[in-house]
Amino acid sequence: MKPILASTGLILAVCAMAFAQDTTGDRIVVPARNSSRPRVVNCNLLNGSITVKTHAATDVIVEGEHAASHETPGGMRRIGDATRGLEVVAEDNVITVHRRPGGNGNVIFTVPIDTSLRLHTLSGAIDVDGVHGEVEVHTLNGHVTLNHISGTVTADSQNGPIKVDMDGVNPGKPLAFSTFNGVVDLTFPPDLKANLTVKTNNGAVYSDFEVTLGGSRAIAEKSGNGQFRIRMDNTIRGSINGGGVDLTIRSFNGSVYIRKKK
Amino acid sequence: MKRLIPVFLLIVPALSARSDGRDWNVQDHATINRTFHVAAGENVSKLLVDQISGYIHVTGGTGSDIQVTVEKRIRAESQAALADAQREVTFDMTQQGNSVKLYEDGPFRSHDGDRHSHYSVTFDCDIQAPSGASLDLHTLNSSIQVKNSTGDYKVHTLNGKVDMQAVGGSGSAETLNGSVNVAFSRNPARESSFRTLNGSIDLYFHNNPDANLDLQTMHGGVYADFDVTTLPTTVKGEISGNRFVYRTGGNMKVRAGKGGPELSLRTMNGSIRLHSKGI
Repeated sequence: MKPILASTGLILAVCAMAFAQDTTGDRIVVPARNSSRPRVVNCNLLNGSITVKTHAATDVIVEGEHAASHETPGGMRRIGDATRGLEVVAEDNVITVHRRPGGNGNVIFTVPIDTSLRLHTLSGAIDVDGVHGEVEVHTLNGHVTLNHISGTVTADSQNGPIKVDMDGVNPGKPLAFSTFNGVVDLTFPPDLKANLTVKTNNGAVYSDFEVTLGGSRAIAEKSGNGQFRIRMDNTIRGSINGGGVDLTIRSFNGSVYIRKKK
Repeated sequence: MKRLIPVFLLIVPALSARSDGRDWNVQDHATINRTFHVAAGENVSKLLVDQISGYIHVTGGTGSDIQVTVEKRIRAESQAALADAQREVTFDMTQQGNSVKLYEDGPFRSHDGDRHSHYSVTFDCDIQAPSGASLDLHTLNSSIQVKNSTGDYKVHTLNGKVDMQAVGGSGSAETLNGSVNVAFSRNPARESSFRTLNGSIDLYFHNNPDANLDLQTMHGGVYADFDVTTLPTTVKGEISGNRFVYRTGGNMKVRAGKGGPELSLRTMNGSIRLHSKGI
């Protein structure tokens, strides 16, 4: 029993020390804590880009960058950010980050490789590199670039291209990529097994995978005078390597590229 | 609709009369001059001004007198109100040793409602003082200006700017709504603070300063025309069960030159600009 008490005391001491950490600028180090839950990082911004990179350590580092919206007075240079900072809540391995009221600017995460992400911003880009987990990203105005991802991805932008390069795909979770105005450029491992649903209104679909097409469907729409209007749905359905995970891709004004990783 | 028009015409004059606020029918003006002899030297004599309405301008000089010129202006709704103002509002000037105190007194000091709302009194102070005199200046609804002072200072207004030129002491300069402009003839040797809520802060150092600066603004940038080194700040945290909350404080600390006294600069809506070349 004594060793357990001693180790509990040590853990508490480590936790207490975390709140006395010195930092430079908007930088918070969230140490790893014992939890059976997988690590998840949530970030929700109004104005600002989100960048995620990985490291071999177990803590999560959150850094804020100031918004570069202020003009520099003549002969002077901006020496840093003294605006309202970041608030980070860590609870049972779920780390939630947002800007404190009045704060704008980019947020940069350095996370362990095995981390799931839920990243949302209204105006800003989202860049992620090297995580293994469930990645859900959404931006209204900005690009999405995800590189060396293993697991599952849901990526959505209203006005921006989506570029995703996956090293491995979780066969049990669906993949979805959509944008209204932009190209969707995806790269998957050669052994990807997927059921493909892809649609673009003003663009083309390209792939170097062997896609077995499933054919288009006819859609019947009832008009006001009791008549039916029958049209062909321009959604492409097919399977890659015999089918598997659901892979849904959508762009309104942009082409779709489904690439095989070399 | 036709019936509505006369009603509207009646309401407009009534509303405009109210929006005008008070109707100052009577005005009075007086100039008060006083001279106090004090000892010269740095922080030997002290000038304390504590008033509600009116600017405070202090200019340092080589003499050993404190010369005060006060323009007293009264605006009142009636002759009776003017008489009330003359009786109720006083501007006391007293000397105790090397300390001179100017103090506006009136019913507003005792929080007795709007008894005094039928008149308005302002005291605009132009003061010549020994340059080494320490300054404790306080007004509410006007600006404060200091020139050629080497004494320590405590300067505070609420609605007005703070403008200090060629100052060499240490202390605090604060306002709520207005900018803070301070140009040093000698950089602060001790801890000092410069604050506003709505306005920018400009410090003009005498050559490159050696100081530690604690800087905070919510809506604005921090700029300097000299090199600084960013110093660590402390992350504030709370713990509640299994929930850990971390907050960066929204401030930054930097070292200028070799470091030195801590200068605290805080604003909410405005930028902070640090100049090394004086004005």
